Amino acid sequence: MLKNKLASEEEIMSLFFDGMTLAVGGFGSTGAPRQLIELVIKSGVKDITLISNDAGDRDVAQGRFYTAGIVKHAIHSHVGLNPDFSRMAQEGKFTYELFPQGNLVEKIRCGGIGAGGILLDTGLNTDPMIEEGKTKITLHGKEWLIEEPIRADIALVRARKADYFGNMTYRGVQANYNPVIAMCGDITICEADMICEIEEIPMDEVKTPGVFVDYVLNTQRRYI
Amino acid sequence: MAEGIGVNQGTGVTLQNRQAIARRIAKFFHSGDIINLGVGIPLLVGNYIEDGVLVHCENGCIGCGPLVDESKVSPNMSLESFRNAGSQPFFPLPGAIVFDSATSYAIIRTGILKATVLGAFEVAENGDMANWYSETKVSGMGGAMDLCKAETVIVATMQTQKDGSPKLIKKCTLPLTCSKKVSYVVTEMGMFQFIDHKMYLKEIREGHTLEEIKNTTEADFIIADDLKTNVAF
Repeated sequence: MLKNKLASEEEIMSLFFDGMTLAVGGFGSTGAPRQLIELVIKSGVKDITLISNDAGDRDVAQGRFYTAGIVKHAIHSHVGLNPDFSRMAQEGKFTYELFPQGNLVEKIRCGGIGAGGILLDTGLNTDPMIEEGKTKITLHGKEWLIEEPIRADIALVRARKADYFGNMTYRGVQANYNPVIAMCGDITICEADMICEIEEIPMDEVKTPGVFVDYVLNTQRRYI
Repeated sequence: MAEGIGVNQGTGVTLQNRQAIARRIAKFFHSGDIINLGVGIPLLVGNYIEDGVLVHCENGCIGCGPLVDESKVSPNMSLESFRNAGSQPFFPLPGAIVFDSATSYAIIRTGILKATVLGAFEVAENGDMANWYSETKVSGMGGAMDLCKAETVIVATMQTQKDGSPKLIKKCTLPLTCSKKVSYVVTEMGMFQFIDHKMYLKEIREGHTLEEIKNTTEADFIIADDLKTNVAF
């Protein structure tokens, strides 16, 4: 018998805490776990470290965290679509780190797969900021940057369909960061457009195995 | 792809110049090529590519089709599942495939991507390019540095900044996106190619002169032996 991981909004909100490191799936306005983002804000936590591809659009998706003013440190790749980010960063409201997008994905994936880092050459010989604080090594005559792993206290992901064990599928470009972020959290929470019974997602079509998921938001809304 | 739908590309001469740049760049590609189009002028290239050229979107799709005019779609229709990296909704073409971000960057880093078309703030005569950092706005590099690992890096840009200062310069002043990696630059006046980190003028667009190009370019460039003039873009 597979564990039933459906959890209420109250149960999920009780998992959040001040100062937590939060990794969130989504790319721009697509594929972000919007209901879970609202629960984080509703829970009243503050000073979070936010790990995600981008800062969302203004007041949309990840942008909601900036509207709520609860970010203390941000780790992103692109933040240009949310003008709040630039303004608040220049006002010193939070600190931030930016990475080339493929490097950020792989840092998160390394955290998720139990690797100690990955060798990449993207960003070498561009802006000194990219190489700052990172170890460079030469292997078989080629220069690489060591990108170190990232893990999160809590990871929030969005599925098209999830069963109550947390097996997930995605739709269109909504997968984006979700599969790697699902693996990088000490606690991973899934929100789904549709919640279904075990075996309703054929085993060959599961994209993220439910073993990586700890809670599935129990929503009355079963279909969008 | 319907021209310019959902994309703010200006009007009048500005739009015509942008469309001309996009038309010229589209001629680089042939059926079967997988290409990535950045925001701005590069997105327009999708309007002119031949059938069978596959557009890759870094947020996880190959086979991106025309952009959707959101104003003509029922507000009840969810357009969230197919949006490009600039958050604009598009129609997936028949046979389109989707994948996660880790897979998408594997496609970018390993040479499967034939070409990337990017806008730029500055291009230097040795093939350096800067397009992600400005002093007035924090925006982040996103996928631009990764995308420059494509086999061919094509820059779509106007000859000058809005204040009239040249964009094609001797040495970049802004933080770089890539070092000595640009293959071609197409502007409203002509087309340059980089060979062994040197910049060659290959084509002058119809209606423009070598003199005009010299006056709006700070970079030292070599006039190619096979320079074509009066080229229709």
